[in-house]
Amino acid sequence: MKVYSPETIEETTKILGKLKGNVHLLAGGTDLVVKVKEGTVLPENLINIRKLPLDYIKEEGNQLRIGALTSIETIHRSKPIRTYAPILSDAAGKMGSPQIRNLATIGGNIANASPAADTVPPLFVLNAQIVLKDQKGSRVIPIEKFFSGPGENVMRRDEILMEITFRKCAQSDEWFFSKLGQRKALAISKVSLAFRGKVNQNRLTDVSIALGAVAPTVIYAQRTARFLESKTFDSALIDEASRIIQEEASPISDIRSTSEYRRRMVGALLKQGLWELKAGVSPD
Amino acid sequence: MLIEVTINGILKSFETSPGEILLDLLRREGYKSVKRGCETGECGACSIILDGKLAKSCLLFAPQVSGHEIVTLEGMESFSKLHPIQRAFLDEGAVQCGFCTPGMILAAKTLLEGNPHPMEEEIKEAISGNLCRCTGYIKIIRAIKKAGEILKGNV
Ligand SMILES: Cc1cc2nc3c(=O)[nH]c(=O)nc-3n(C[C@H](O)[C@H](O)[C@H](O)COP(=O)(O)OP(=O)(O)OC[C@H]3O[C@@H](n4cnc5c(N)ncnc54)[C@H](O)[C@@H]3O)c2cc1C
Ligand code: FES
Ligand code: FES
Repeated sequence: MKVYSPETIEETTKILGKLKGNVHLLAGGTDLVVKVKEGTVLPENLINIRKLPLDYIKEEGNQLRIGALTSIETIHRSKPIRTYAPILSDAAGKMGSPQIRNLATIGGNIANASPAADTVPPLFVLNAQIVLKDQKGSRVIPIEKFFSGPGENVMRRDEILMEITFRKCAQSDEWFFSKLGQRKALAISKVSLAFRGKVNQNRLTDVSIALGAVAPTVIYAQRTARFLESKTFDSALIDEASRIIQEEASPISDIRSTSEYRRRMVGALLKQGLWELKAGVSPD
Repeated sequence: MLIEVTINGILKSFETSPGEILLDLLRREGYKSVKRGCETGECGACSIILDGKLAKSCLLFAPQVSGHEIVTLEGMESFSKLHPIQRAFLDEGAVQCGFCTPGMILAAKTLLEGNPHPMEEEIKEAISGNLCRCTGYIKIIRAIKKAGEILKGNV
C-alpha cells in the first residue's frame, strides 16, 4: 500500500488522474479503516486528504456551503447550521459517539453511500447539491442523483467530493429527524426519517420526507409528502400517511433488523413525529 | 517510513508502515494504557486525545497522526502525583477490572476541560463512546462529577 498526503486540491486531482490501480481517499477513516481491517477493501494506493483546505462552513447570501472535510462534531455544534439547517445539526449529534464524530467527516458519510448514513436524509430534505472536482473542472449533482446503490455513488475514480451546498431553511420551516437504532449511542440506523414542511392554517405545505435504511439508497417518500399536503392536518391524515409511507419503503432484512419491523417502524416514526409537530404548533 | 508525533508533550519519531494501526504502534512503543478492545471503533478502550479531541486509536493509520499531538493516560500522572480525575475514580470506586478506565478518564478530561460543571446528561454523552464491561457506570459518572468539583477547587 502506498500513501500520499497531498496538501492542495490541484495536487490531489493530479495524483488521482495519474494513478493506475485501485485508489482510496482517506478522510476521517471511520468507515475505510474498518473495511481495510475486515479485508473488504484492499487499497493499493491511499490518499490521505485530511490536510486539504476543505474544513469550513460558509454562509453566502441565502446559501450554506460545507467543506467535505468538516467533521460531524463541528457540524453538530456549528451556529450557522443550528440556525439555518437545524435538522442537519440534530442528525449529526445522533451519530456514533464523541470519538467517532470528531474523526468522521460529512464528505465521508456521503461518499461511503450507506443507505443508513445519518446526514443523508437531512441533506435530501434540504435539497443539497454535491460539488465534485477532477483535474479538468467541477460538476454539481443533486444529492438524490448521487447514489447508485448500497455503497455505490456516481463519482468517477479521478474525482473528489469538494463541498455540499444548500439554501438556508426559513425560520417558519418545521422539521424532525428520527433515528431508530439498537441504542442511543454507537448505533447504525435501522430506520431513519427526515421531515421538513410548513404548517399554515392547519394545513401542511412544502412537505419533503426522506427515509434512510429502508431501500438500497436513501429515498424520498414523495407519495406520502404529496398526500400530507392534500388535506387538513388532523389525526386521520396522520394515520393514513403512516400507512402510505410503509408502502413507499422497500426495506430488506439484515443483521440489524427484519424488513417487516423496518416497514412498521417507518410508519411509527412518521406518526410520532407528526403528532409531536402538531402538539408543538400553536393553532392559528 | 518515519513519522514524528508529539506524545504527552514530547516529540517522538517512530518507524512505521503505511497500513499500521495507531493502536498497534502505541502499544508496541509502551503506551500500554491504550487498550486493545473491539478494534472496530465501538468500545472506546483505545481512546486517545488527538489535537485536543477524543479519538479512537484503532480507527487511525499511524501515518495520519504524523505532525500531530497525542495525549494518553501516561501523560496525566506525574510520578507520585495522581491527576484529580484519577484521584476521583479511586475515591469513588469507579474502577473494577480497570480495562475501560484509561478511556473513561480521557473522555472525562476532554469533557471537564471544556465544561467544568457538566450535567449528568452531559457526562453520559461524553462517555457514550466508552463501554464498561463491568457496567460500573453509576460510579464512573459520580467520579466524573467529583473530579469536576476538585478541578473547580470546591473540594
Ligand atoms: C463505531 C462507529 C459508529 C458509527 N456510527 C455511525 C452513525 O451513527 N451514523 C452514520 O451515519 N455513520 C456511522 N458510522 C460510519 C462513519 O463514521 C460515517 O459514515 C463517517 O461520516 C465517515 O466519514 P469518514 O471521514 O470517517 O470517512 P472515511 O472512512 O475516510 O471514508 C469513507 C469513504 O468515503 C470516501 N471519501 C471520503 N471523503 C471523500 C471525499 N472528500 N471525496 C471522495 N471520496 C471520499 C473514502 O474513499 C471512503 O470510500 C460509524 C462508524 C463507526 C466505526
Ligand atoms: S479498541 Fe478501539 S474502540 Fe474498541
Ligand atoms: S471497570 Fe471493567 S471494563 Fe470498566
